[in-house]
Amino acid sequence: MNNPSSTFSRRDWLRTASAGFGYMAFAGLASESAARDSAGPLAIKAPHFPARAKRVIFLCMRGGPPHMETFDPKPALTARHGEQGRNKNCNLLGSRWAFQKHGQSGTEIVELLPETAKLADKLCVLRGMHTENENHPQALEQLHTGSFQFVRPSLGAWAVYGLGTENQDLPGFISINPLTALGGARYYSSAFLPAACSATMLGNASQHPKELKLGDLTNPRVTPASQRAQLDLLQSMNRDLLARTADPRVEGLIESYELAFRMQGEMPRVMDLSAENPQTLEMYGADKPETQTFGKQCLLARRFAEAGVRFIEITHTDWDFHGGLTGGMKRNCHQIDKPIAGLLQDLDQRGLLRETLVLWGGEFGRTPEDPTTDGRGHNNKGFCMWMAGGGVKGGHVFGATDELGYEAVEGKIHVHDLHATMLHLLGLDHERLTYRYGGRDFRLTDVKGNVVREIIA
Amino acid sequence: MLFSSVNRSLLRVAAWFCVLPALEISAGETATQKLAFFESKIRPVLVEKCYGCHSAEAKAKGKLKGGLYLDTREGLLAGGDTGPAIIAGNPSKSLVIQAIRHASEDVAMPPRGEKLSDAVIADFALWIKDGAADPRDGAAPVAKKRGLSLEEGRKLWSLIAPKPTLQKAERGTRSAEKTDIDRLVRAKLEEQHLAPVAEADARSLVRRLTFDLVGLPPSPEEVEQFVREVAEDKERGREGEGEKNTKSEVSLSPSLPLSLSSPQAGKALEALVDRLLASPRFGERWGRHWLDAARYADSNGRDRNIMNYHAWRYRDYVIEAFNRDKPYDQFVREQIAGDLMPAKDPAEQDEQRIATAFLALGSKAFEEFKPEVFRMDVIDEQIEVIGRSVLGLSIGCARCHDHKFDPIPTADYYALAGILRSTQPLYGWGPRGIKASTYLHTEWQPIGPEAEKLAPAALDYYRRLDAEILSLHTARSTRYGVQRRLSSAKLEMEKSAAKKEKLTAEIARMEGEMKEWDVKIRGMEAGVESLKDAAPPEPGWTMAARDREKIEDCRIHIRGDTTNLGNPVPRGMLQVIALSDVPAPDAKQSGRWQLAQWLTHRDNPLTARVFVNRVWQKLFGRALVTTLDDFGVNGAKPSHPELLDELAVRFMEHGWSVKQLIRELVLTRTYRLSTDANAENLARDPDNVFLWRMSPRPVEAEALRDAILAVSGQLDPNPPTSQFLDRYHSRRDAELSTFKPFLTSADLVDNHRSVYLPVVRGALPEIFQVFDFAAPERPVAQREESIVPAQSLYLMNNPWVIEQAAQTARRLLADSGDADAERIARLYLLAFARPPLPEETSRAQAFLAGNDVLLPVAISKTARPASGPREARWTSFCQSIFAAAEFRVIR
Repeated sequence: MNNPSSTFSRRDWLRTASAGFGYMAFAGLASESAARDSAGPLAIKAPHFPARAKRVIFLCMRGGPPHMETFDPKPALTARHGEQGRNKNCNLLGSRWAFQKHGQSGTEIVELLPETAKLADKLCVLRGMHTENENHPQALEQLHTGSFQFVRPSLGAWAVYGLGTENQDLPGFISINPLTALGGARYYSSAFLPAACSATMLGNASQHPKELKLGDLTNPRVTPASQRAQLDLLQSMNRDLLARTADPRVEGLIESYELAFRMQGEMPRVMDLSAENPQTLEMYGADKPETQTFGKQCLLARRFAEAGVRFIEITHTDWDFHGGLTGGMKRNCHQIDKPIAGLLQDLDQRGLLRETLVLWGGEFGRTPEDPTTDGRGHNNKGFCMWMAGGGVKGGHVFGATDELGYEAVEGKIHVHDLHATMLHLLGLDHERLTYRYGGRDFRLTDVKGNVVREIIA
Repeated sequence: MLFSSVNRSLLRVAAWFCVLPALEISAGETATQKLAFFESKIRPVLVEKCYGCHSAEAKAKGKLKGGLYLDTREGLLAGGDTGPAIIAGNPSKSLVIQAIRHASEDVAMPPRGEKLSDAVIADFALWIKDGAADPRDGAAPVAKKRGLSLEEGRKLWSLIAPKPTLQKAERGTRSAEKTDIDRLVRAKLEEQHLAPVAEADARSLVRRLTFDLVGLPPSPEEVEQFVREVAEDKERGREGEGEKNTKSEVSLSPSLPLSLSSPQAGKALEALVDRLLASPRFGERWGRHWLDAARYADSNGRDRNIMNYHAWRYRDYVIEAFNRDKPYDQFVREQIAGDLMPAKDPAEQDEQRIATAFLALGSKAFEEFKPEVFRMDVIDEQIEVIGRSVLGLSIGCARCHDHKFDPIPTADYYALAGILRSTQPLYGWGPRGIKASTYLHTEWQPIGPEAEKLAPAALDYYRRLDAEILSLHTARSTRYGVQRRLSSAKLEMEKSAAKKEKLTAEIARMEGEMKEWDVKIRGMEAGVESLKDAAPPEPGWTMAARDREKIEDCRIHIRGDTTNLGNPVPRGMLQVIALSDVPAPDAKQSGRWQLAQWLTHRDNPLTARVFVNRVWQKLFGRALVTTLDDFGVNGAKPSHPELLDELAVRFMEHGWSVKQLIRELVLTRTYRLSTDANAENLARDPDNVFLWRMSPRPVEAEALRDAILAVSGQLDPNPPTSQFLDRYHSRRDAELSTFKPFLTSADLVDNHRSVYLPVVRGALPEIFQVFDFAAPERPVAQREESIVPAQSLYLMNNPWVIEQAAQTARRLLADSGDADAERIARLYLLAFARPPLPEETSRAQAFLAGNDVLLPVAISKTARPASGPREARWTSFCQSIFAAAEFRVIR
């Protein structure tokens, strides 16, 4: 057929694929590229090259944890504590907490994270992180989407777009306790990618961090049996229409209702932690009041990972210590330490860690100096994150900030580089994973990004 | 680190000093010596450090970066995307030097910690200073400008003015079977050997038309009336049927194949179309389409979600413009320059001012503390919305470099930017109480009979309110400073006994100071509160735009950087569309009026085409140019270029009348085709590019909600008399500082048409989020069409849906005289515009007779639980109807 629009437009793509359902029937009829895409965004797709990681768990520390008080010790800062910093109203503030070397690798970790420290040999600490913006919303947006100026798809959406997902009864991208205030939804959106790539959000960090639920997942009025009866009626109407019209859209709706119904069963099942034994709950700290919120979320992440979800994110707030650093750090570290250690151990024991990339970190770091009496400013020029599992070197420290922790000076990794590396570990070439929108090919890393090969095992 | 950076720049200076004597020597060097220098110092570095990404070999491996070749002399001189890599004789202006010095993050090369040594950098500087001798021959493969030149651009199909396809004599031979449009469509179909399917039945057609034109389902009475008119006509005019109906699919009895060859049936159809076009609901439907393109929103979005309190006037202006069939060219002119247009009376002037809110509605970075960056970002957003919504071009790419594809040089961008730089958007207030951001505050435009009388005092009041909030915030932070010093003094006291005496006095003084601040702050807080309650009488306000006092050209911002300014560019339009009779703005004019004239000029090749293409997409599902807002080089080519041109020319000839355009399109046979697929056509043209049938389309978010409310009988069809946001939020608090649940659930408590629900960026009503509403952050030409489980879950489980189903059930059951079969028939008519088939009735009856228990859970605070199992079962049935594919698709 002589199709006058030679470029495969976004709309064509939407019509053949993004709907996610229904175009199977016509796959044989459409062009080859349409046929390739017609399985829909959630269907499993082959990576560009063999993947080191099948999935990602991103532990997002919203607010900007201080690198010099977590994974990037600064003895010079401690030594010069109290001297004037770069800003004339600020004095240098040394870490109140000591660092020890851990594991065979001797990775230095702050004493506030004793449980995580036991797994030092699993961690690949990235001390040379940097990003462009020092405001939370922009930096968080860039961390998630690569851009803070434009609405772009989230990292998780790109992963699902590139690889599909392993469990057709669950969404491919789940964000636990997401930030929804102040434009937060953009951090998890599919933007111009097919809508099925966007995150399904559980709970809401802006409202009730403890309550995790998916909107409209259940109908409290009906028993599953009577809802099934209702659905059977609905689907018989839909099938009649399909028979009359042979409309793939109708077929898509039929499949979508079935998936929704399956999700009603599968989501609560995966989210039901009561099946876990007490030892597991203990391992995650899910049995203690201070650690149970994050602990349960980490456990949930493992369950989603096990169930085949491609990208899982958990948000922990709030690390924005302009004041109250001493108390806040103790509290936050305690809240995350045991759960994270539990997650890594549990993944490892189940053989999942080697194929699951775990990423920890916030949108930026903090300044070595103190504009208040017990706090630190924002620092986008140097901070740290760590990865574990999924094909990265364990017990490895890469990059460095200067001796006081102001700026990354060695092994610098921009957020674009981080994204390129994560996609690489998932078997995706960040320069080839593109999506045509508004007349141009977009990618997660825009025109930037280098794979940090030094950290790959 | 401070010291190291100082050291580094010292080193650099030192390196330059070392270089200087060498320079003097080099002046006398022979060419051979210069080449030797290149060979020994420069080439090895290029080979080792640069060729990996900047060479023909890199290109071959797909690794070429930035379009830059450093493996030939020509490549080096021509440069890549960001311009020439070197300027011989001028190291400091050479990009290569800036890049290897890592002068900025953007161009730091080689990347990631592989910075060259200072000695090597000095070698490069010397080499360039000395003329950049380079023996390497060979043409750089593609290192040249990538975009079209203006000359080439003027040959692009979309930039050649549309010409009428049909000769005057050929036109207007309209019969119901073959309008001019049908003839053009038919010609393509024949070319492709595709036979169109039969026409839709009358019921499908009336439903399709009613959704398409007013965004609602037809009432059962409207359906029946139309069917009666056509059926009566069929009795009389059966012999007049020209086309043979070849319905390949199972025919839906009691549907009526509609063939409008007879004049009476044609009249009934025209009457229906005219009635729908005249309905005030028409503007609510079609105005909303424009609001997508105009990125309309009631709040700023982003991090400072300032309310756009008066944006609703623009929304109502748009609705009214479509209802009154304001000529599209005038509609565009008013939005660009309404304030500069003559008006016959003050009311018209106000209307035209309201129209200019188009320029003020963009999402702004209120957290930006660099005024120039903020200003240029606002301008960029304005250029984007004008370009994409009116012209179908993405001009924004030219902000940093000549457009990579389209014939838009950077200078053109800044010619337009100058016009907008001389324009003040009036969006109201930025974040309050932040000293550094006071430059973000603007006024609103006062309107109404008392505007001039009331505005000065009211604006003064807002300024005063602002100043008081600012001083309150300042006081709070000063107090906080004292508090911090106080606590550290107390800490110190514990540590050192020596300073005890001095510290005690200090602490006492500070404690006193704190108390004073407390009193002061309490007073100020009370002051702000009472000021909030003491607003003077206000005029009406609108968001708007007007010329600034200072009219100025904009200088080119090199690579879009506000601190890297090039030459000023005279205010003007895109050169590629040169219209000689649009005058250049004079020194006192922003140029918006000229821009408005240029955009809507009969010879502007884009504006009419872009608009008729949008209208076509809304009515036929697939646009003639599928990239609705990209008519540039990268955009799609039209499937029916002759048709597109004919439509554009006619649209302009008919005085840019939108209603006439729509009327003409929906009265074609092409529009009346059924959505039935036939396998042969489907195999040849699965996307229905050639219009052998009508494409089925989803019912969009607003229409879905409105349709549910219409069926349940809960829809309030009239425009609201007050604004939703005014009811919930005081205008004197500019900002939505936190997530407000009332916003995302506005759809639950308000039964007006969805177009009147608040569009708060980042907090859309749930049904909008789930059903692909146009994200209001940016202009949207065509909405997403997703089918995702969240939509199914919404229709299966959402309390509002269940409540509407319950209302429907009650509505049906209230007619106690009816038998269930009649109720089922009524519901089918309400929802699907057709009676049920006998087997559908019996299936529904069987379902309604079912006896499984519905749990007695209240479904929402306001909802009343079902009065008994019968109502519950009916509720469940009605809900299935809302969820049915037939309800969600326009066929």
